[in-house]
Amino acid sequence: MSEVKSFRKPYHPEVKATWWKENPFYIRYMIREGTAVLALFATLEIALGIFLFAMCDLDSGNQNADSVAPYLWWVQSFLGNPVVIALNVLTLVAQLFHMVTWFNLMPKAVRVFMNKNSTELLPDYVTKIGLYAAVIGGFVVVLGAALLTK
Amino acid sequence: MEKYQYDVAIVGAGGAGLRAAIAVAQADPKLRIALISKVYPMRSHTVAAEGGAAGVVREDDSLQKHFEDTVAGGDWLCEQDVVEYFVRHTTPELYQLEHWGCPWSRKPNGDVNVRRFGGMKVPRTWFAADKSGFHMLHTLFQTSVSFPSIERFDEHFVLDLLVEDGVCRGVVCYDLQNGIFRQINAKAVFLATGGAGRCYLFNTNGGIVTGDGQALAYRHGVPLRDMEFVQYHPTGLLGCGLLMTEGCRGEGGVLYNKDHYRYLQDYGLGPETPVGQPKNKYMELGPRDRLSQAFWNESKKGRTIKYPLGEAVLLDLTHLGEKYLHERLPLICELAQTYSGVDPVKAPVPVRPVVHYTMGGIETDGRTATPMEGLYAAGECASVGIHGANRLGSNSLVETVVFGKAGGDAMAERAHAVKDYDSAELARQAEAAEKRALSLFDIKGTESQGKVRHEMGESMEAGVGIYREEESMAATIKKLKELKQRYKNIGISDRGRVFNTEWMNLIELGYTLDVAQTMVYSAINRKESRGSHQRLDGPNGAYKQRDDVNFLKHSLAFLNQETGEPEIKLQDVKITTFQPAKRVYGAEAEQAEVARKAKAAKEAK
Amino acid sequence: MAENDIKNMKITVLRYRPEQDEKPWEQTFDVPYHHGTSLLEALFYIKDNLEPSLSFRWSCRMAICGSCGMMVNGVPHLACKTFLRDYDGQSLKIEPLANFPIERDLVVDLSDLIEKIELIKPYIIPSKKDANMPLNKNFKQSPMQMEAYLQFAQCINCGCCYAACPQYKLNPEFIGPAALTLLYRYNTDSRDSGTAQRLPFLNSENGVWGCTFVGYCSEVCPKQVDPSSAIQLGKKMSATDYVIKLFKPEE
Repeated sequence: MSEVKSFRKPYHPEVKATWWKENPFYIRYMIREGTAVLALFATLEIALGIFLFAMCDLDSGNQNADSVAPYLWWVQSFLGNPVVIALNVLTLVAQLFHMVTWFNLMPKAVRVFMNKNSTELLPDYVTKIGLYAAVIGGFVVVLGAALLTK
Repeated sequence: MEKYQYDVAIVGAGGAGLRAAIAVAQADPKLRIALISKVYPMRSHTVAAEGGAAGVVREDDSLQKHFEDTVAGGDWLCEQDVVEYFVRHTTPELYQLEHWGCPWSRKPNGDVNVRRFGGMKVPRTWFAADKSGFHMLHTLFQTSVSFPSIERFDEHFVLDLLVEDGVCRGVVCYDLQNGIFRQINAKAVFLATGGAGRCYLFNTNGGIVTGDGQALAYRHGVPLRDMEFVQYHPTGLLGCGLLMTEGCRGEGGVLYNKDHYRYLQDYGLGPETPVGQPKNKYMELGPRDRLSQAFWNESKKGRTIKYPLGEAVLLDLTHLGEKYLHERLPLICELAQTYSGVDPVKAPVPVRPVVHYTMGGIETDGRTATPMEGLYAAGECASVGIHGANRLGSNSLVETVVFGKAGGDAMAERAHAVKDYDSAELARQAEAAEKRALSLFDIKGTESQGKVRHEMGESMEAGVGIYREEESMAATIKKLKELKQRYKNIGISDRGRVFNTEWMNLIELGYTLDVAQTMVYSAINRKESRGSHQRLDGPNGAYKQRDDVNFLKHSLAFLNQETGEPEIKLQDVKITTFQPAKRVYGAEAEQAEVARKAKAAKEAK
Repeated sequence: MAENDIKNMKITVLRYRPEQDEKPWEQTFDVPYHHGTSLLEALFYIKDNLEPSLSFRWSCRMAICGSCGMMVNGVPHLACKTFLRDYDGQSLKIEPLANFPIERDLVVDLSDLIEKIELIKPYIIPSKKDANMPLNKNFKQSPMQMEAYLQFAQCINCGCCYAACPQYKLNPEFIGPAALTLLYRYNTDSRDSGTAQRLPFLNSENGVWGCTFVGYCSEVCPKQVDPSSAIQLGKKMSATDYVIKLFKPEE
């Protein structure tokens, strides 16, 4: 605005690459975001399984271990590898962490969404019970299907 | 120095300043408007107003009732023609705010709701929960953004008015961010700088409420009117003085003394109304001056409660229930919890009277023009004439918009009638103001700014508090003279120009000291009791009574340029239709009303 | 601590005087406090008794004017609503609000925040039908319709959410929590018909889609405005608008 000499000299603090380490909230946030890497790993893992399964020779008349060798390799050698097992356990933990943090945010979001600003009208536990019930329900269905087709 | 030419320069961007700016912009989009404020507009103290704004909407209400409540509430020291104008324009202005987006609380049918307030016959206070001022201010600020002709000078502190041949031609200000000075010429200058509650130590006001505009006008010979009338709000939080809105009592809150007795019934406000059934103009819904005075008397009788932070009575809201309190008074709940550690849902809140509002201010006519050509004023810094000796709660928020608009219209008219003006004299004055401000850096004194400010506040409370006596007022006059001497010896340790708040606060303190003087000089000269000005002295206690023969008059405080002190003159009050009568509340008021009606009926026959 | 105990606390304040200092530096004060002492009052004590040249903004003392936002031990707070008793036995480090240029001591340059608030058209844009509504009636707005936006109209423009937002830190072009919340507030007001004019800001890369739902803005907001909710709801509004435009590109 002014052509007259200004005495201003604002200081612009630099943004360090480690900015997120300075606050526990940011650290939790970065971990939550970091779970995406493990989710990517799980996705690639399954994609690899499907790809190897597709390479199996299921059409020819004489099926033996050789014809499903790629898939067997995936099941036995790849998934059975201790490193991969460890990674899968880690992925499970990460996804559970993601689930918990996400569900913690949900009651508030649902309330705003439903235009009910009072906890009286829609207590937190209603939303949370619903969400966890859905997860457990899904888990039971998958497990049941697996046991039944065995 | 940077120089600017505008049509209108508005000083202060609270309710009145923003409303005026919008009015000018709407009157003619080509008019150039400078909106100058020492803070960002949404920091202005309008933001802290809680209860609401009065406007007649109910079937059982009328403009006449609002008029009578206001004039009687002001103990007949109101300009009645201005009050007539005021009550006619309140409701349209409040609807205007509604159209601009103000979230006024609603009835289930979608129309605006109103609540009860002290000293009003009928519920007529529009409210946005208990953040009415906050919502009004943000609505006005956000609406002002849509007018490109309003150019803001945020965080610019006004140092002086530019006056040539008795005509106000502009202002000179200090830009806090850049550390430089600006000369702003304008055809009309509008002061909307708020009150001067910071003259006192214990107050509800923000740190910015330092009487800047009043002092600026006063120093240029414009009189300050009715400055002795300073409102104590009866319910401030103990310790910090933060406001517990009158809406608390409007919604049904009650006041107890230490014996759990509703003491207001002993002070002409009874008989006692049942808890939870507030009745207009009874008990807790009496006017603020009466309630604050009742506290003082309870304290003398030893019936208040003693806390480490001082004496208090209890404001009980518990019977209203959590849901209702959180809906109607959310800010009150937050403030009491945060600053007093008391949850009003569960326990009564300790409260006491606290300085809240300056009824007086820069003398203006009914359309905000001051006696100085080109200078206008509105809002708390002005005395447009509607508050008299005691302001009714919810009249001041709406005053800002009614007279902000009136002032904006008047200034737009002037802007069309006169030409741009500039002269060497104005530049000289601006330079002089800059030099004066900078010369404060040269003081090598050892006096402490904080001490002078503190002693001023203490002395004002002792001399011109709820009850006043010649002797204590004389002591305050002496003290203020001494403080003005000591002021000249306050050194500044901060040599910087950017956001030098030590320097700015010192200039503000100079303003506040001047305004404080006008208060106590006006008070000692008024030898009667009226509204918020209550005296205990006089021959045989003569000053304890209202004296319409000698003092049904405004006080005008002029600066005597030679002595540097105020000179007080009296001015007639404009009375149109409502002759002075005894000011009564509670059952007494009802009897008076019946008698008046009977008399009128008799005369009609 | 008991009501009347007086204790002392070490308060370190980041100082920066543009005319003297190349970069900010720290100054430590020993400040007495009791149960009711707010950080703002502690700063008054410093300014009145120890260091008159310390600059900070303040006014209302009651958490409604929005002047006194600052970093308290790395977390954005209003000084008037922060109490020393809550840091009993610790020391305090006070810095100006993060993510804004420092103008002087605890005073930051807020003009970017103010410009963003002004940018998003923060006012009622009435429909043609309502544009000339007479001043003797109000818009009908039910308490439920008011509830839809009221929480988002409680923002005091203190800037704490911008100081908390990593997206704003990394990309100053991001419109940011308070301004996006205000945008959503007007878009959901039943009196307003200006949604179409505000959507370009909402939809832009620096609008709601710049937010990765860190959620810290809502955590630090001193008025429980919950800007992150407003932004998530804004994303829904923006996505709906995108889908509608796919099918009705002309509108």
